[in-house]
Amino acid sequence: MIDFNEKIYILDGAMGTMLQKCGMNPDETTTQFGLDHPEIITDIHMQYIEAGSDIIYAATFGVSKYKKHEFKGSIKSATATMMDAAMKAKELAAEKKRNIKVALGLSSLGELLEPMGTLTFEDAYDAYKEVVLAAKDKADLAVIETMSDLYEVKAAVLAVKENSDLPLIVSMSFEENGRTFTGVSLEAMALTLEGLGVDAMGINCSLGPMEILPMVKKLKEYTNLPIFAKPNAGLPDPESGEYSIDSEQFTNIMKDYFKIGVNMIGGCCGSSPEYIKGLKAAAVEAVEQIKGGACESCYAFDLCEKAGVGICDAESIENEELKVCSGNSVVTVDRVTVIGERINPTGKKRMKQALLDEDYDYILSQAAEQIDAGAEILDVNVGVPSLDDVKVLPKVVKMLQSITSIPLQIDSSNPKAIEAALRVYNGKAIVNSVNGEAAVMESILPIVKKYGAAVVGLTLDEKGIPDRAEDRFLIAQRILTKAIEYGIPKKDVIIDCLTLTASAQQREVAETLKCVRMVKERLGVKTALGVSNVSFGLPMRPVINRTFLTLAIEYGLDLPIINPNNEDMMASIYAFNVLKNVDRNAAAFIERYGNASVGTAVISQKTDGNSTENTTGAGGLYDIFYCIEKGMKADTVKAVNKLLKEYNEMETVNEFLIPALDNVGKGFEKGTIFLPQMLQAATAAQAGFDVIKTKLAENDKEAVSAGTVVIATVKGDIHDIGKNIVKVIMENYGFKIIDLGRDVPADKIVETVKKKNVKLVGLSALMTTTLKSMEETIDALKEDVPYCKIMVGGAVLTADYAEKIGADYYCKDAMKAVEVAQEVFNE
Amino acid sequence: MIIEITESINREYWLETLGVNFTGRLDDEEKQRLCSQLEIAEKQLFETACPKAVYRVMPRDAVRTEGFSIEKHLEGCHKVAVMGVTLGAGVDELIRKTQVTDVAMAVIMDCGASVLAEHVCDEFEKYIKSQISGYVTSRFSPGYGDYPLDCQKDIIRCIDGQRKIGLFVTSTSLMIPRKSVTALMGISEHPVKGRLATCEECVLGEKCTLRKEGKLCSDRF
Repeated sequence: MIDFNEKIYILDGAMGTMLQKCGMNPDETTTQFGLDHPEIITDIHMQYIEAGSDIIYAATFGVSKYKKHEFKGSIKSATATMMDAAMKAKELAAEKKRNIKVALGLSSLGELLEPMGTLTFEDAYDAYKEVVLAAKDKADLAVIETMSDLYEVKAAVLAVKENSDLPLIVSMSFEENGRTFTGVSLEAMALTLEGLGVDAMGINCSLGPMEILPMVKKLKEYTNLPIFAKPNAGLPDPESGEYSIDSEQFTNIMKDYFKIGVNMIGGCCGSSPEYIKGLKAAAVEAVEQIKGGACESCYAFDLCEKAGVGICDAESIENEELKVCSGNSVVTVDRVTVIGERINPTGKKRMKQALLDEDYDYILSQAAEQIDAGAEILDVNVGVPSLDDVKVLPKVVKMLQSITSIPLQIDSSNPKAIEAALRVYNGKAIVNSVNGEAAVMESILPIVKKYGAAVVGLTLDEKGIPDRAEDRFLIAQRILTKAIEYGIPKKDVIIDCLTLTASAQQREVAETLKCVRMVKERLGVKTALGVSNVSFGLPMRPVINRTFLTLAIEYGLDLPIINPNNEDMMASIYAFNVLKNVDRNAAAFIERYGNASVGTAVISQKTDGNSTENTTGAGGLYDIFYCIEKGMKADTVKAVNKLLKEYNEMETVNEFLIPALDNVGKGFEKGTIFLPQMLQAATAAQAGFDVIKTKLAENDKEAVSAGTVVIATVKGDIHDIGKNIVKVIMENYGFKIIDLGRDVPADKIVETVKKKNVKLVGLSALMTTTLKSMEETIDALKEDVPYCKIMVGGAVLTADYAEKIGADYYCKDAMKAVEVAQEVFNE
Repeated sequence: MIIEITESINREYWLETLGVNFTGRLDDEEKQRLCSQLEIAEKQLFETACPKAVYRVMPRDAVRTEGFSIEKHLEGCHKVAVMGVTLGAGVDELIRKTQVTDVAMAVIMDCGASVLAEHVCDEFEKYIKSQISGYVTSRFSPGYGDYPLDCQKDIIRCIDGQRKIGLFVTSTSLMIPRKSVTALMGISEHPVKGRLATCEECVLGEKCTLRKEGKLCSDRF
């Protein structure tokens, strides 16, 4: 253990720019140069130690299996060489009675993680683990620095904490707008890292000391952990490469950092031992003034916001509000915050079918819809008895976080599934749920603590749900006590007092409300409630639901778990905020409902821009042909619903939807309709098909498939828009598409074709560099599954080239792919 | 440095990239609809784009290049300005999210972002020229002519792209964020114009989509 609060630790300065001064060529990599000249590395470490560094970072930052092309030798040997170079400096310093600590340095792996890049979280973890294992017996601590992706940071943090006992400090690089390149805010970093249990956090690189100063101030507000900073020496000159701020200027600005109360300080790009020497002197001066005790004698007196309190014992900022976050957005629960309940198969046949069919697009569209409707957090539950939730839950979490930036609530009772999902979650999630049963708490709370999540506690135990509020309160108290015992902060515990059905347990509805108030007032924690259960078995359910919701909010409900697409409920919340003076000047209410029309018990938020009331023709009021051609999604849905009153599902598809699409397709061929319009038409048709699918699922009927097709963007290529266009169009024509995504290895395609006995594969490649990979994939398919036909497409392909690499069909566009598929399946 | 977007995305290039030909085939209502969608896309692109650029002047020999066409382009230049530009990860995220709910809009955004990236490059090219004394050629990017995409990684290393502007390159030489450009500009003491590649030496050859339509990529420069 290292006590980072014990004193101001001086860190080191730049390595890369120092090596350049030592003769490293522009085309050499820092890692290889260091491996070739470990004595130079030791010498630079020594220079920093002599200048005043207490902690030096070993030059292991570039050692990663994904940067193998930048150096020779194994990860193990490269790590060892760099660690030894630092240890040598430590030993030399020990001879002079200096106690120096050596940090194992970890940084970006060199490949981006999903969803931006293609590296999986698990592979990133393994890559870091390899380096940690090679260095853990030598290092005194580990540092993860110059990071821009919080997800990658999480992989590194887990790799360090699960494979060593090293103290761990982490710093990320922020831009002028207070976010990293990937959009991570200081607050999201602070929340996530505090949750994961790092020992200190900070900011390094990217900007100079002037620009980083206000960010460090903010960071101090977001966390009680020790903080540190390593700014660049300004900006480099494009021609000379010299950095713009000299050591004196650097030191002068850095003096302000001590006033904020940073625990560790150093320099990044462009800094040198001279800068560190300046920092050391400034730190000594600052500490002496603090030791003097009297604020008046402190150089910071005029500027210090805490003058009178004293720097050394300035109160740390307590932040008791519950906050959760994704990689780049933080939700503070300081007013009613809606959790969307739709991603849950319980009682929803279409969702259940989608999970069974691995129709993840449907799940994602449900997420997008709820966010549009105003959900601020999404509940994720994949509880279908025949599904392995340990596999499916993390998979769905990964997919959701690739398209949403709002925080997720992991909803499961299986500790293994919860852990698998929390592990791959980027940010600070909520776990739903534990209850008062000792065994449940013992199995789930340690996981919640390890991954730094918040947790929902249900007021029930092995004896069931108590009738009386007082008894439920006792369970809530028990859960809170236990959570705190496990080290979970009180603010991260949410209590769900459980909604009962008014038709069956009318008396207990009031007990729930009473319990919400007790929990709120006596325990001082946030509360959650699922709402719509209350009306089960009663007529006019929406009225019961929204009345109960309003009551519950008044009693202290913070986190209603509802269907945000239900505008009645949302409107009640917005109205509540107006009446309670939360929504000042009713700004949010007016923004949402300024143009709304109120019918009887139906509130519509806004009208569809693509909707028109005058589209008459076949299908009644809404002519399906017109609606689809013009890409009118909402009207297509109405038209299909209307058609379904007269025709069955298959008739509606074959006599209306498909012919309407064909018209559009013909227009596209002739050049009277262009790609954007064709896609809008396809999207509208898709909405129509969705109505059909929902109807089929409700009646336990299966959709008739025109054939199953596997599609993928080949290994090495990350372009997927073209492939997705093909998917949308083909699905409209009734083909079942197994979309393997982008950057898909040949063996995965072959395996899927074999497993699902697929007759047609579509491959996409967009770059000249990835055509080779397409050819290899075709070879693999021809060898293993010769019965399977292959169609290919992509900007750089031609019919000749497609033939040359062995494809059966070349598709110049998505309509051609439909034709090919029809030909293959009609044979 | 941050490049500010000062003008709207060129509609002509945007529609061309989308494969839309306005002449005579679309009725006014359709045109109007498409144009209003471009407006919506542009608004969101401007909100999410965070264009960043960096350049560094280096001796010609310090930058590894391959191919005949870049050699020709840099003929007579003793130094090169190595540049990188990106619209940032936010644009990728926007397009990714939009694909889930509206593929048509995603395609419109994707094409708009490509045109925007080129525009940002034009601005940055002008800026670099204003900063450098001497004669400077126009920019030349890997993937153009026979200058291989593999050289992307060398350029990104020269400009420290990952740390300076958040620009990564995959092992298959694709850049992330997707809407990014790297390029070289030759610097000389004598007047130089550079030389754009011809179709004959271009690695795309028959595979070029523009060429299939009888157009030249140099028309845009």
